[in-house]
Formats: sequence, structure tokens, C-alpha cells
Amino acid sequence: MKTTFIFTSQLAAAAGCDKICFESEAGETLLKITRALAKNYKAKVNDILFSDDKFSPTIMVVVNGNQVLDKNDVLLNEDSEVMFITPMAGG
Amino acid sequence: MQPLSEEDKAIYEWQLSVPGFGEKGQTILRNSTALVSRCGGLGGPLTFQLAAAGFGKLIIAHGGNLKHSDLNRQILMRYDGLGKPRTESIEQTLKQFNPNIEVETVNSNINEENAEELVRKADIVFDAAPLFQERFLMNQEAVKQNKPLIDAAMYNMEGQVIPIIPGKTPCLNCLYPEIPPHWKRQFPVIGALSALVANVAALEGIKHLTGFGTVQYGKMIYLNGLDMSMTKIKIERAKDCKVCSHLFD
Ligand SMILES: [Zn+2]
Repeated sequence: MKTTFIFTSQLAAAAGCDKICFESEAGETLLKITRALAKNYKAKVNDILFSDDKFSPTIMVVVNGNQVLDKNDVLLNEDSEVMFITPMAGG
Repeated sequence: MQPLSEEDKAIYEWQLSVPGFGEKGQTILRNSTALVSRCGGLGGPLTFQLAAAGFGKLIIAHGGNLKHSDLNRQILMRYDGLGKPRTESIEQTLKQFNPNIEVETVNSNINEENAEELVRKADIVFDAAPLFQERFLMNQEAVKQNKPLIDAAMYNMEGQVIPIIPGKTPCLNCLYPEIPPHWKRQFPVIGALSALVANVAALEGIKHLTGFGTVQYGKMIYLNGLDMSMTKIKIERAKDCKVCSHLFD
């Protein structure tokens, strides 16, 4: 199953890219797919995305333009676009 | 409501003809007070636009003295204000721009002591603060007092604007239930990007108050200055949000 991941702000800086296409087995949760994806990147990417064994509470997960609240259990359809929004502020 | 003066009509002539806005919208702004939390890279251009649009009163909370590293983006500041309170530069710039606007500056950032009173004096709140503690406090107070809040944020070449209407849209705490562990006070940004985000926030606030156009309620407006894309993301309220969930019972 093909998924397009979009990294934003701090996550894009840590990963060194802002968009990647990733292949995974159908029927796996987004959390499991993202864990596999994150293995390709530095530890900082994992630090930003995950807290203990789940997505960090402050990572916003957006699937096909809609925020997903049950981000740890969500199942994706083929060709989904997943956007991870990391926190930002003023200044 | 205080009617528009002849000078008001002359100054705002070009926007009085904006369809859906008109003299009615202008009169609403003339009689409105906006609170802006921090007047830096985001809050500065935002406040400038609120002044240009003709808000009757602007309350600006921003503590500390002006530094060289503020000048790439904090466009209300002045070089001769270096080392002096930022509020002095802000007041001077706004008064020279339009002396008909009442400006109240607070030489302090939003905190537990001043949040309630400052929000109480405003019809709308714009949040452009860099620290989540301040943003959470502003969000909490706006929800408590049922005041519209336009939250603006940025990082590098990206930015986001969230119109928050208590009881109608998710609030900031719905999205960020805790202080993000990786957030750092200083981050990369170019002034043109912060101004872009600020202008979107100003426009959403003006549209909300005057009731024209389509405000992106329940959405996060996500801007990317690298490829000039704008994404409108549908956001959800957290059912266990400790700030706003009681409004939806
Ligand atoms: Zn909430």
C-alpha cells in the first residue's frame, strides 16, 4: 500500500525532506507504518513523532486534509496523504 | 455606535467600496477593540494591518527591550528604539501612522496577572506569542470570556492561522493538550513570511467581526512560503479538552 507523507516545520528540518512516498502492508495502523518509516531517519525524527510507544500528544495527524483524533489506531486506505503538523508559535 | 467621521470616510475610502464590507463594516471596526499578544514578527504586521483597517482601539501587550535581532521582522519597531522598551517604538510608529486610533500598550507579556483584564477590554483577541504558556493562557481566557481568538504561528517558511470561536470551533488546547517538548523560543524565520501569516490572521479577524466573506471556522489555515501553497485543514475538538469541552455538553 502506497502512502504519501508530508513533514512540516521542525519535523521537515529534522528529516531533511518534506515529502516522501512510502510502501507498507495493507491493514497496518498508521502508527506502525510511521514507526517503520521513521527508522530511515535520525533519532530526532523519532523524538518529535513519538512519546513512549505512541504518537506524541502534540503531533497533529492529518489524513487527506482532515485532522484525525484517534491517531494511534487509524487505518489508511491506498494512496492516502498523511501530514504531520508539528507545533509552531509566534515570535 | 460612534459613526464614521468625515476624516474616517476619507482615510478608508478605498475599503468602503469593498463588497460586503462597506460603511457598516467600517463602523463596526471603528467601534471595536482588538488585543494583540506580542507585537513581534507576527504581531507587528498584524497590528499594523488592524490600524490600517481602522480599529477604534488597539491594546498591545509586549514586554522587554528592543534588540538588533528583532529588526528583521518586527516592523513596528524603530532603529532608534534599540535598547528601549518595545512598546515605545510600537506606540510611536502607530501614532505617526494614524493618530485617530487609540493605542494602549502594556510593557509586559500576557501573564496570569494581566490576562483576564486585558481580554475583558477587547472585542477580539489576536495571539502571536512565541511561548505556549502565553498562548494557552490567552486561549483559556478567551474561552472563559467567550471572546473570538485568532491564533497565528510560524516556523521557518511555514505558518498557520486558527480562528477560534468558543463553543463553535476547537480551541488551542484541543490541538495541543500540553506544552510541546521540542518547541524552542528561537527559530528560523524571514520577516516576509511572518508578515504573510499575520495578514491572513488580520483578515480572518476583520471578516469575523464585520461578518463578510467566509471565515475558516473549524479549520487551520496552513501556509507554506516555500511553494506558496495554502491548505485548509479541518480540525477537531478534543472531547476531553480541559479548556473548552464543557461548552459542548
Ligand atoms: Zn478545546
